Amino acid sequence: MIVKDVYISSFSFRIPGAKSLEELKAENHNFEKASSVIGANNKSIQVGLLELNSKTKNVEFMPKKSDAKIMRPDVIASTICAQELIQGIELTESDWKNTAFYMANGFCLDRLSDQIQEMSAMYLKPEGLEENMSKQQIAVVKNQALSRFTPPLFVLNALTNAAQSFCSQYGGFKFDNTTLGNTSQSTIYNLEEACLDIMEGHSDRVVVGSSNGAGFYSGFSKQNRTAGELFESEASAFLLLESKKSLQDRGAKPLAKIAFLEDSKTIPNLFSANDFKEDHAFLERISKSDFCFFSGVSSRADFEEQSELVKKFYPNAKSLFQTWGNFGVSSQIIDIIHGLSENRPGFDCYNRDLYGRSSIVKIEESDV
Amino acid sequence: MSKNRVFVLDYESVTPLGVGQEAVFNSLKDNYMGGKEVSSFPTEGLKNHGAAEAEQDLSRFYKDEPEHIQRIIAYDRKFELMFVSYKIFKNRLSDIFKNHDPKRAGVILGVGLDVSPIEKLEPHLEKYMDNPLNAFEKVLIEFNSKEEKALSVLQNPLDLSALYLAQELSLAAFQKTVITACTSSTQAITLGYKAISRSQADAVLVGGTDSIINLMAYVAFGKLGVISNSDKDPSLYCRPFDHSRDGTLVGEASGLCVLANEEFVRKHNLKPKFEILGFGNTLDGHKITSADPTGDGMRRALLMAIEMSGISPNELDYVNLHGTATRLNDELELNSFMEVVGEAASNITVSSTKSRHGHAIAAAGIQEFNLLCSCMENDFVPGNMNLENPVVESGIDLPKANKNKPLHVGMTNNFAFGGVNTSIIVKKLSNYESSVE
Repeated sequence: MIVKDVYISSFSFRIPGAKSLEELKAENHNFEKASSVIGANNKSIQVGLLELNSKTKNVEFMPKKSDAKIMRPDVIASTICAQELIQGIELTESDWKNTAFYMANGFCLDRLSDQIQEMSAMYLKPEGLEENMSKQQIAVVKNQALSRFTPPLFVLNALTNAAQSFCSQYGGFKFDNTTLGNTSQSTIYNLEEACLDIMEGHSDRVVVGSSNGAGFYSGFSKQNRTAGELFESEASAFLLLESKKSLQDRGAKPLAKIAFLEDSKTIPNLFSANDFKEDHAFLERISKSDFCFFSGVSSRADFEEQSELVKKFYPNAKSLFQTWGNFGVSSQIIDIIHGLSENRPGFDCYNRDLYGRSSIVKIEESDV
Repeated sequence: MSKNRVFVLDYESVTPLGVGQEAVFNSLKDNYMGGKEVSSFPTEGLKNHGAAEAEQDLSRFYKDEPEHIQRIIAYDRKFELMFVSYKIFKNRLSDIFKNHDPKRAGVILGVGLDVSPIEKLEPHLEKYMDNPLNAFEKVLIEFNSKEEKALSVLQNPLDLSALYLAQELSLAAFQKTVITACTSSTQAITLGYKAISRSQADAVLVGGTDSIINLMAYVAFGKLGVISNSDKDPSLYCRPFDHSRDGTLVGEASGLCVLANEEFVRKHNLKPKFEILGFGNTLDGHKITSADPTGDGMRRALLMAIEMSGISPNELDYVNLHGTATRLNDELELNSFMEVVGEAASNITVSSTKSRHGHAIAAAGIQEFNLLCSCMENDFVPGNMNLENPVVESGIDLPKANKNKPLHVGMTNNFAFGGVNTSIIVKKLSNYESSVE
């Protein structure tokens, strides 16, 4: 799809270890990593973890303690990003209220896995269970134990649209919205929705956000579809897109414009991992790129394979995968931010998800 | 930019009121109440003991399916419900999606969070009782260790159902999964509407599936305080808009609906039943724990839907309200609605059907949208069951009993945890041919 008059006017991100553009560019390796064996094939997962607490330098954007207690790290990161995104942009409360907000959310349960394990354990082996109890008495003891160890706000803690809710609360975006939850492909769908909203005048501003969880559950869902060791990171990344009119009204200059975006319209093969055929005609597009970033899939082996393929079409293509692994739903936005951090006049961001669905976003220098 | 009209071609549901839309509608007419004692796990020792469950044994719909499908279904009630909706709809869907351009047809579903069915895993978990804190993780690893190239059980991503349907029906344009809690499948419909009206696709299969009737989810929602704690019969748990309401009835459902543009309808010689006129979709931006008590977000969603539809409030014949029977939400919804439509309220009939089928969370939107369509096809208004002392005495038609009324234009509302407000307005096409001339 050729995109007309849709501009990137602000961005924000949180990825493990890097809190600034300089640290992103320098590919800061100094971040907390967790590893565990997750499968029968001894396939391990390496996870980059977000460190977010009141000791970080962005304490001014930390959510209130009463909110933070029911927020997962990916949700806190998104809430910080939402506030950073709009900082310094001179728009009224009403302008933000009329801003559309499309969010993509990866796995939500990874940071809750200890809690889930504890709830399961208390149910399985509750105190007060006696050998001669009837089936009904056993059910009473077990159910009461599960109930006792289930936190009252567990549902909100696990809520799939929690990041959207808190970003709206702290950022003030209250117009058209959604949260999509289908792999990294969610973000291209949201970018497309946002561009069409602006091109058709549905909204003058759209926030496109992402919040990626990583860990046992995420890795578990992917391990049969990927080869070798899994490597992924928690992340959050946001873009503010604006119409030309909105920029002119506030006399602002954008960072860049979105010129083109497309997805491969692949029908995913759900039950046969890795049997998709890479769409070479689709990949041809990046051979004409001014520069190309690509995000890699979830494992090191898949990254190597994708890297080889992408470099056939664009030999100098670059990826952050080797440092951070896959950013899931945040991949494509982080690649856009990566490109902007290098002050490139134009570049393409290529992404392929777990099911072989590919997409390209083309960024160009602003004409405003 | 001119926008395409968006038509509803056909729809199907599996709900506590029945398997198949016809059965659902008949239950509605018969005032069948879906609230019963939970049958899928023991509730002894819990504060709540009722739920609206869809038929438990649905195996007749998949007993001949390959093993990998049956293995998923065994541990994933959401997929089971969606699979059955698809199965009973399959022949009609195949007629609609034949000779279509796969790149011009997509699928969008609303789905709820995966919560592991601990009660179904228990026999496996018991093997790891020496260290119960690791048992859950060990079972997942054990399950995944079998030589399976296909998906293993419990390895199901949120987008399993959308990807499955895309593969079955060759829907390549997009496969989206919306995860905005109680508005998930309502937003699936609005996103489908947008995709067709903007020419991103010619036809979109929309819908959703959800079930929170498993032990861990049931306990967690109970602790949140949104489920009725009534000691009464479960059929009396959910009392929308009644002064005595004290919470909702847990439910489950799945549903599908086909949306298409005029060109698709003409090319495939189809006869649409409804036209979606517009939608409203807003965020409260208030608190995750409760709706904005001013009702601002709800009012903006209702207004947006009415304005986009190009109708005046007087034209609304019936509204299927979200009406969960929780303390704050019902009154807020009713007051917001009455404020938005003004004097027209007295001629608009409104009801919540959740007292009958419970709250299907992510599938609430498609369940109630399909129900609205059935009611409009039959000029039938379902009464507000369990309503004795309404929170509003006058100014709006909030009937206690079912009634017949010509229904030309209808609306459905859903409001979600986290402050999402979504409304859709549809118009019945009594004579489609004349409507396109």
